[in-house]
Amino acid sequence: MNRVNSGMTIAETVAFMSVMLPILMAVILVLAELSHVYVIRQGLLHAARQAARSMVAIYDESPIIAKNRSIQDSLVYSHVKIKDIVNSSNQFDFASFDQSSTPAKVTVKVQYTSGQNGLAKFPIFDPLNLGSYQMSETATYAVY
Amino acid sequence: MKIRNISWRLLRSRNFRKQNGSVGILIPGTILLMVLGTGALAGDIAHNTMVRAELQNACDAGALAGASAMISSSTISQAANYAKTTCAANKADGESVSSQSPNTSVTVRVNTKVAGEMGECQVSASHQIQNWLAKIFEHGTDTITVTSTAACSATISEVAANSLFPLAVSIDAIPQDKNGSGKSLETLKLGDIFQIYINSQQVKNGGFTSMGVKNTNANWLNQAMDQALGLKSPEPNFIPSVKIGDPIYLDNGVSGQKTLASDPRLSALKDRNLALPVVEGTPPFNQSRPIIGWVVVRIQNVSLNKSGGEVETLTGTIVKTPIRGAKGSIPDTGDPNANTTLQSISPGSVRLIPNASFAG
Repeated sequence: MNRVNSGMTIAETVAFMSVMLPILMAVILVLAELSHVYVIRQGLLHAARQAARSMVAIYDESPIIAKNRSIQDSLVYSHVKIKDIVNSSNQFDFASFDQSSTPAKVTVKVQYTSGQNGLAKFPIFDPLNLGSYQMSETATYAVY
Repeated sequence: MKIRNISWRLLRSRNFRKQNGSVGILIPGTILLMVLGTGALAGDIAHNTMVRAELQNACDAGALAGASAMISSSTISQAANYAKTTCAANKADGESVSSQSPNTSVTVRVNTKVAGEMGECQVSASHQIQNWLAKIFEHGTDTITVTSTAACSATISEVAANSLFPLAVSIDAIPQDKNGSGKSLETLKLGDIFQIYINSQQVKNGGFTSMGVKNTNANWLNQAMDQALGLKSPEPNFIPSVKIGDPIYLDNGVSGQKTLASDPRLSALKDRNLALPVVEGTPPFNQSRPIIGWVVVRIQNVSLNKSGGEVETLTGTIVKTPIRGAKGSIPDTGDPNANTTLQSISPGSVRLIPNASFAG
C-alpha cells in the first residue's frame, strides 16, 4: 500500500512539475531580463546625466560645442563609457541646446540598441523571436 | 500502544490516502508562489529605485540651474524659476518632474544670504508611485522624496592692481587683415591659439588700454608694459585694479605698437603669460568700454610690419587664468548684451553640496 501511495505522489509531482516547471523557468527568465532592463536604464541615465553636465562645463569655455557634433564626440561622448551599456559615442544623439528658453538648456539623449555598437543582444533569451529592444534615457541641464 | 493503533488506522484510512499526492503539488506550488512574489517585489523595488534615480537627476539639474542664476545680479531674482523649469525639463516615471504633473510635487527654496557664498538653492521633489505586488500587502503606493542642494560660489568680480597687461582684447570681434580672417575669442577654448590683431590697418580685436586711468600718455603706457613684462619693479597701484563693468579707456595704440616692437620688450613678450582685460566689439580708439572679463594668453609669436618698427599681431595660447577675485555678484551693467556676455563667460561657479548644509 505504501508503494502505491509513493507512486501516486511521484506521479502527481511529475505531472504538476511538467506543467509548472516551464512556467517557473519562464518566470525566472522574465525576472532576469527585467533586472537586466533595470541595470541598463540605470547605466543610461547615469551616462546621459554625466554627458549633459560635461556639455554644460565645456560650453562655458567653448560655446561652439553647441553646433559641432565632432567636438561633442571628442570632448564629451568619447569620455562617457559604461561597460556593455555605453560603448560608443554613436549611442548619443546630437546634444540639443535650447538657447531660446530661460535658462538656456542642453538635453542629451543616449540609446541602447540591442546588438549594435558592440552591445549584448537584448533580450538575451528570445525563444519567441520578439525582436530587439531599444532603450533610451535623457537628461536636461541648464547652461550658464 | 493505544495511540500507535489509532495512528496506524488513520494512515490506512481512505481519506488520508487521497491526500498523499497533494504534498507533491503543495511544495512546487509554494515554490512557484514564492518565486512569483519575490520577483514581483523585486520589480517594485527596482521600479522604486529607478524613479528615485530619475528624480535625483531632475533635482540636481534644477538645483544647479537655480544656483547658476545667482551668478549675476540681473538673474538672481529668477533663481527659483530657473530651478523649476529645468527640473520640469526632466522626467521621472514617464512624467515631467513638475508640480503640474499628477502625483508629483516640487518645492524650491532659495537662500541668498549665505556667508562665503553667493547663495544656495534647494530643490525637493516628491512622486507617488503605484506598486505592482505590494498592493496585496495593502501597500499600493510609495511616495519617494528626493532633495538636492547647490551653491553658487564667490564670483570673481575684480582683478587686483598691477595684474593686467595694458592690452584689451575683444570677446566677439573677428579680426581680419590682408591675409584673411582670424577667430573671435568666444569661439576658442583653453589651449587654442589666439591671434591678437592690433594694427590700425586691420580689423582689430585688440587695443592698448590705460584701464581706468584717464588722459594718459605714451610714457604711462611704456611704464605699464615694462612693469607687466617684469622689466621694471612694480610701482604700487600703477596699473589700477578693475572690476567687471568698469569702463576702461582704449588708447590710440600706435605708440604701444612701436614700444613693443623693440627689445628688451619684444624678447620679454615671448613665452610670457599675459593677463588681458576683455571687452565687447572691435576695440575703438580713444573711447571707453566696460570690462567684461579676463583672459590669460601665453605669447608665442610677435609679427612686425614691413619696416619692423611696429607690432601688428600677437599670437599665443589661451591658458588658465591666475586672476585674484573678490566676492559679490556681477553687477548689472545696464546693457543687456553685456549682461548676456557676462553670463556666457560664467566667472562664478556652482556645485552640489550636502542637503544638510542648506541654511535657508
